[in-house]
Amino acid sequence: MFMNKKGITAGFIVSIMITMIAFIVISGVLLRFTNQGDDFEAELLCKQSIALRVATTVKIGSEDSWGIKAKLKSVPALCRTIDKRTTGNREKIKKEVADSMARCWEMFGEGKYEELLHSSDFSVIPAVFDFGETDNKCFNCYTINIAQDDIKGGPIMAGEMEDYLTTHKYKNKGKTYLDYIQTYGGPGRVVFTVPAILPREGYAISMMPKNREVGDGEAWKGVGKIVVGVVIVGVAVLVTGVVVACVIGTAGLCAAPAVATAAAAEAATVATAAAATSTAVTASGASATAIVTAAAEASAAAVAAETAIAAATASSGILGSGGAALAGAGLTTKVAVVAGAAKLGTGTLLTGGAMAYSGGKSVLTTFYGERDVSSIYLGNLQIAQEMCGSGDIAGE
Amino acid sequence: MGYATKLVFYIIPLILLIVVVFIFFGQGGAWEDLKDVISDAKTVAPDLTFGENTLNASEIITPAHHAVKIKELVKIINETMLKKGNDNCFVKGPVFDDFRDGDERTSISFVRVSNTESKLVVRSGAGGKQIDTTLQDKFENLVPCVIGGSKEITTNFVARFFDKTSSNPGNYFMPVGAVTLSYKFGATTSDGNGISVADFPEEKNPINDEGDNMENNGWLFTPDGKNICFFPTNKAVNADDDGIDNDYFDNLQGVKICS
Repeated sequence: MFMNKKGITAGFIVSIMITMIAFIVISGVLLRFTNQGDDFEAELLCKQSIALRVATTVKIGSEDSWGIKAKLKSVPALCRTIDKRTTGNREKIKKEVADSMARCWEMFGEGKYEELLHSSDFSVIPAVFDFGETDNKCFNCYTINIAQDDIKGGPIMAGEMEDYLTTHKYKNKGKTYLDYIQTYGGPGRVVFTVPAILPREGYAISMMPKNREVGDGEAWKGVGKIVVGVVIVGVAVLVTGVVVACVIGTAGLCAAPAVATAAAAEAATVATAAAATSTAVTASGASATAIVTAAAEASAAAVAAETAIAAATASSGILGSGGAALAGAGLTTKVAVVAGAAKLGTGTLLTGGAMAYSGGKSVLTTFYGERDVSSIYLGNLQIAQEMCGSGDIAGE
Repeated sequence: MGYATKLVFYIIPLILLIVVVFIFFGQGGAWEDLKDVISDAKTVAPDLTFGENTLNASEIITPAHHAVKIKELVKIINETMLKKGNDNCFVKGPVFDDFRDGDERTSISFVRVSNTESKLVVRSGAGGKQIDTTLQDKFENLVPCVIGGSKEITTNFVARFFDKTSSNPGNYFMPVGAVTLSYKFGATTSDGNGISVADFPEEKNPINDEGDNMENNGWLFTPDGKNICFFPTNKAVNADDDGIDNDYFDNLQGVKICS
């Protein structure tokens, strides 16, 4: 038989290439599997370490003990922040966020225990030497990066997210997400400190265990003074467009930005019609402090529309005559939201230039400090990291 | 082994055992004393327990007296106020009992969700911060508003509808993003049931820094069958940015009632 060396060589090269391609594909799948496995293991480790930690806690002395009072926790909480990268349609994103919130709740004992993240403490003659200092420890269970340029249908507003939690079930427990967090184990609640879920943004799911020492009066006063666990709309430093500042104390109540977001997305129509239902408020004077909770791209059109809206509302009032535009009322704050409402074209990234933290930060500090009920927070990644830190508790 | 050895190894320990039994378990013996010592020691020794206490959630139940009035308020809004053709009319709604009742807290929020929809969110349960999903509701074409937020608005409203010194003085209501009825702690006023508005900035803070500013006797107002306005009140002047004088609501007469 006559051997064709060229044929043998070509066949060999093809075999090599097929083998390499197969290797790449298989290793990619395996890597992805092991990464998911790593996250699952991390969740399981955290959950079991928390369970062991609470089961092995030794308490010396009672609540009203006059002599020695101590709580010794010998098992560390072996938890680390798990980073997630999410893409897909809005239902997929909502499910990912909801599942993460529920799993975080599940990992940290479902709200059945107080002061989970507190370390051991010891005091002698507490009436004299115990000054009642309380740590406000919290932990970022997950970071979620919306790794896409656009969410079809627009930003996912907090109200929509709240509705999702109320109507969809957490498969592990057979209850709705909200019911699971609020009433399944210990009492809990959900807090949104961002007005919307935007594309190309990072968020954190944080666990806030209940503090034993937080008395009803103190925590309530803090909330009541702000606006009972509802909405904080921080004021904005107006630079060249619109800056969003909205903190939601509890689920889904950042309504003003929701409305203004819709308005901005339909900028031209709204401006022309001058019958906007926007709650945009035109700044007419001094700026005020704010927190920008989302990076925003505002197109020139949006800015123009805002101006038009402001002019229209200043003259005719919102929603027809008699309704007062706050411009006319002399307030000095612009709280309309354009952030992430739509990519209406090239625009100016407002976040960096428009940040002013002081007043808004104190508001958020108060919210992150409330501990009369164990809570799951969905918040801006940067702020959550500042408030709670991230990483590996066990490592610490 | 001889008998003497057996005697030593068996009898003497037996006798010792009998003696010890008499000492400890005899009447007034050392055993009773030992028990007394241990009992006394227990009273002064610190308690020692293992494991954390467990919190158990209970069903979120809004106090019945609030739930009834919330449903009444929703009914009034839906059946009487949200109608085309309702121009500048008033409705007497329920007057809520104290939103703070011992450890219980209740708050009611009307939240604008979109251009065409608002929703009712009731919070109670633990810390008054859990959402009572059984009382949630949605309203088509409702915009929450307040008669407050600026002196111009309240002054105009009083002039037009209460004092009737002017027929059309200007802006007289303010649409807002969310209105919350809850128990409030006033910075300079008394604590009590109050109205808060989400939209206002912290530095210039009309309405929100007031405590019991809900002394409006349950009155509501709608300019157009879509905006549903609440009356935050003050106790000092006829009208300022915090609201209208609560005295106006003691015996409100001569106003158009929604039908």
